[in-house]
Amino acid sequence: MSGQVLRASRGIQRRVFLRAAALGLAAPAALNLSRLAVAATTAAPKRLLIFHMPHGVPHVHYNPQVMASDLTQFSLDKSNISILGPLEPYKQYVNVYQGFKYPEGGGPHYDAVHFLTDHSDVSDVSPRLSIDHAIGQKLKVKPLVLGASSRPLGSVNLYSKVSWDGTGFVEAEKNPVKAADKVFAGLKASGDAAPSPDVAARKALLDLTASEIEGLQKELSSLTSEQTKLKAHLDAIRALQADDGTSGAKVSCTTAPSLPNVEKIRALNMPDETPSGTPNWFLGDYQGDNANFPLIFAAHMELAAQALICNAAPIITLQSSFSTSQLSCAFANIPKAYHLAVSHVGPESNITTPASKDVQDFATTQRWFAQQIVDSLVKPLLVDDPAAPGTKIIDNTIIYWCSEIGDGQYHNLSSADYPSSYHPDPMPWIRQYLPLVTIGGGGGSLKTGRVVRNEVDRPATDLYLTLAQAMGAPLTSFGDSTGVVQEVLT
Amino acid sequence: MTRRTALDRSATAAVFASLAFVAACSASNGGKPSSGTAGSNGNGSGGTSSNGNGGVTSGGMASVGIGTLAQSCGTSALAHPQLRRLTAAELQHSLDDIFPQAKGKWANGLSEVASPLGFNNDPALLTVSQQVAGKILTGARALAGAATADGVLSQLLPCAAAAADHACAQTFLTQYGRRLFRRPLTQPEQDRYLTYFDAQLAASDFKSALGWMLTGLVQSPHALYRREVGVNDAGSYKLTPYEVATELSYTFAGTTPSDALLEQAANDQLQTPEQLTAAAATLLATPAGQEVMHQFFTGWLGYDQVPPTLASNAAFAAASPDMAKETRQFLQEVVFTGRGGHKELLTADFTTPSATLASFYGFPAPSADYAKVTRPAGRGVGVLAQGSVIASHSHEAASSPTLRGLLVFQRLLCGTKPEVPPNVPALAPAMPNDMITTRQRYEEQHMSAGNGCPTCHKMFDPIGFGFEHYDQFGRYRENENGMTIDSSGTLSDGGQALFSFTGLDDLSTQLATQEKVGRCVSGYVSAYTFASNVPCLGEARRADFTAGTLGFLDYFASLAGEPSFTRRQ
Repeated sequence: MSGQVLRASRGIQRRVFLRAAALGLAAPAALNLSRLAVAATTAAPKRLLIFHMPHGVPHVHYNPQVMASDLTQFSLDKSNISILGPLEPYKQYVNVYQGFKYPEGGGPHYDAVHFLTDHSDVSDVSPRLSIDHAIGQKLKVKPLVLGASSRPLGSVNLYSKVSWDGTGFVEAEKNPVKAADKVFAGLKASGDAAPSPDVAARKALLDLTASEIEGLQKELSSLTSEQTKLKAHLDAIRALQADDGTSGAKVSCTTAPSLPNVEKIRALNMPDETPSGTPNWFLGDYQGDNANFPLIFAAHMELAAQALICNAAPIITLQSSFSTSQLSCAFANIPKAYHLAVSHVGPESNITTPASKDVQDFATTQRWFAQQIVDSLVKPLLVDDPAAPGTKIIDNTIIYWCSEIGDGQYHNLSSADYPSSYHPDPMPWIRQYLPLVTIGGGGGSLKTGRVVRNEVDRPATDLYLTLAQAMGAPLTSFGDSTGVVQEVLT
Repeated sequence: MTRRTALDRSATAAVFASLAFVAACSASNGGKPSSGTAGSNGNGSGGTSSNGNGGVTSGGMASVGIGTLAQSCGTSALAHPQLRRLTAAELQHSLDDIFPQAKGKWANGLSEVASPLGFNNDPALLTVSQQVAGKILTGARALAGAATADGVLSQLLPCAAAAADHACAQTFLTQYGRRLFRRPLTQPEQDRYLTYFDAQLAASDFKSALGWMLTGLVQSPHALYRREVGVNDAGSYKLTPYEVATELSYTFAGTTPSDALLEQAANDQLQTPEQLTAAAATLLATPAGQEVMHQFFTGWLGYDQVPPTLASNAAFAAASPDMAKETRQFLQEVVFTGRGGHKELLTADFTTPSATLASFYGFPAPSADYAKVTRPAGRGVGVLAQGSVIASHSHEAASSPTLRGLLVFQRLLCGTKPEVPPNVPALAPAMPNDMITTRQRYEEQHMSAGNGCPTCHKMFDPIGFGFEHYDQFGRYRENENGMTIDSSGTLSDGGQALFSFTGLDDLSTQLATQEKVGRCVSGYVSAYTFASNVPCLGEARRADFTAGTLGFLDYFASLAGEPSFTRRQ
């Protein structure tokens, strides 16, 4: 940070401290306020990463232990296997949300097509907007959608369709090499390149294509459903025309970062397809046992972290897998199929078999993802923010970790009570919330280090609206939202 | 055997109430979503609609319910006019066929998109989003680069060597535009593309300008959409000859019409049902045509995604990769070589295993990998006994009467699976050392009164009991951990008992006699062909297929002679 900015920030701190003290705040509170003031007034770019971990959690190994009635006093590592345990040393950045709900209906996991969006129906046909793209559109930033194992073999099905840009669903980029090259393309170009003549040719061509679509619209004006299809196509062409291929963000790094896992995959120099015509493994189109998943996943996480650090992709959605995936969880030393064998274990197993191996395996698997989030995202983001020296990247980031269901067996889409002998209270019930967590301060916009609990469920879209406002996106409503979660906004 | 208490029974109920969700999660096709929920609620652009001026309705398959597929109508209905975007495979095949010199040097980058029926060709799902438009553009640019490369361009466009100019570009446009649009370009279209070419030529060079023009042609809606709209003709819409040629080629060969087929269209040689079914049969006899038929079976049965049961069965791990190929070869024998229909599919007494699979099953070794092997008596008949089918309808550690029952219920009887109720209450778990069979567990927890489960599970679990002599790996078992297996059951439809059976052989054999099975299967074939939400489009030869006197190939080809193949409404 320049000397001028440093002096200014110190000035802000001093002024706020003095004012707070004048208002009667004790020194520690005044000091905290002054720090928040610096964070709130920082010009640091804000980043958002939505991390989708499918299949929910076994709550007996997840629910934070909250001390007394102070929701800022909680432990993440005292819940048996403690899925959230890796976050305990960083819990000052963490919020655990309890008491939110998704719209019901459609059958288990079908809500994959709407749980992040402004729609509540389970059709995977009608275009909709997911919160990453809604925020991106307001901030004029194009989200990067990455997927380590984001679709089943052969086809995209509805369970993969979590990110939507208003023109259709956005399939995750599965090739981390291709994604990295695109994200950091501007940092690899040398010199001031003259505008490519292709730019003009491309624009003119898209104009031509658009005119053809308009001609078809006119010709087929009586076919209502085809009009919908053609309008969507025309919107897509116009959006493509406006897309300059960049994220729209101001990159803060001057050189491309080191991405060792990405380079490991690049060095293998494999084509997209195997000789038998199936997608190669780094495209993540596999089901079942795949020893390469850890490397692919690590490459995507590494890319995401560096893209956030460099502000090259300030909004990222990362699909670690997809709901109903049968990927082998050998990566977590649980060599069983993720959906049917790992996640489909009921909380009722806990009543007479507290150490139920199946439930522990589920918890171990989901905890593995928590550890990766800590190792590959949280820790790297603890560096100074090159775009706003004096703050850490994590201060200016929100990692939103979510799942499309609550409990892996019961698939609750809202808070529910189920029995468990693990619960420390005399009552044998454990509350099963949707597992929703944020990590990071959002540039001072979020109060962190707390459990946020609603006694009556609120729509998850309230949380999305809150994230939008924390990111500085002027979104006043989203889907069935009723308002922001005021208690976490500064 | 451990004496079971009331608590034990209710505890067991918990585990198997939970299995209702497992069944709901994975549906009947190895993880593919079931229809009747996302499909039938009428949301999205797949629904029918019309404007106030009596405009024509249209729609794709996304809103069709499985339950309508077996509907019997007597006479064939007409589908609605529609634009059908090419699938990823259709686009790739088309461009490879038009530009064989560039084959293998580029890829379109699109993904296939699965529908609730299991097929990849639902027009309602094949929309063009910004991402899809971007991938098409990128793919088209890659093709353009490959097609204009040195050595390739001279083959595609000989005039470019002598005079790379406007006239040569016009030659390219006339020749390849016709293939890409599947009809001659109109004069305004030619003018538009040549004007664009001239502008690019002025800014760059011939190859670059030609490449951009080719890019435009590939991403044009006239190339990307199969047009099945027609022209108004006495109250319905008669498809143009070129539209019919396009429909023939994609339906029965999965690719763009050849020059010869386009010529037949231009000469009005694709008019009568006889001409059309003959053309369809010709296309189906090609490797591309066989592939289209195979794609039907992988979508309908979902057999190509055998999930690995990872819990320590090395023999299965070694054998399972061969299972999908075994079934594909089995289908090749039944459908193509034997020209069989659904009865043969359900009752064939052979399979086509690799040597590894034969050993895994305990069958005689084949003469070569995937050669025919007659199944030992009582060791399965037909497609339902295929290892791929059984293993993909199992759990990791046990068989699943629910999943297997659902397979028959939905894919052979066109039953509509109800939505799983939310938040089924938890019950106590099963005792670990209980000595009861899988069937007994399912009967206790899914079929006993008191917890609401039988309301739905009585529709399909009893069917699945017929499979119980097959473990989760697709192998026959005489008993279950020493316990006697009861594989008897009664198949009901709409609450009415149709027949009783004992074992999978008996179940398959009796299913083959059921008229509804024939109607259901033909309904799936028709849905795959027309990609429409209108039922009863293939009635002309449906009774023959149902009766077993017409096989899959011939029924499929006969759909080319249906009214909906040349008219819409």
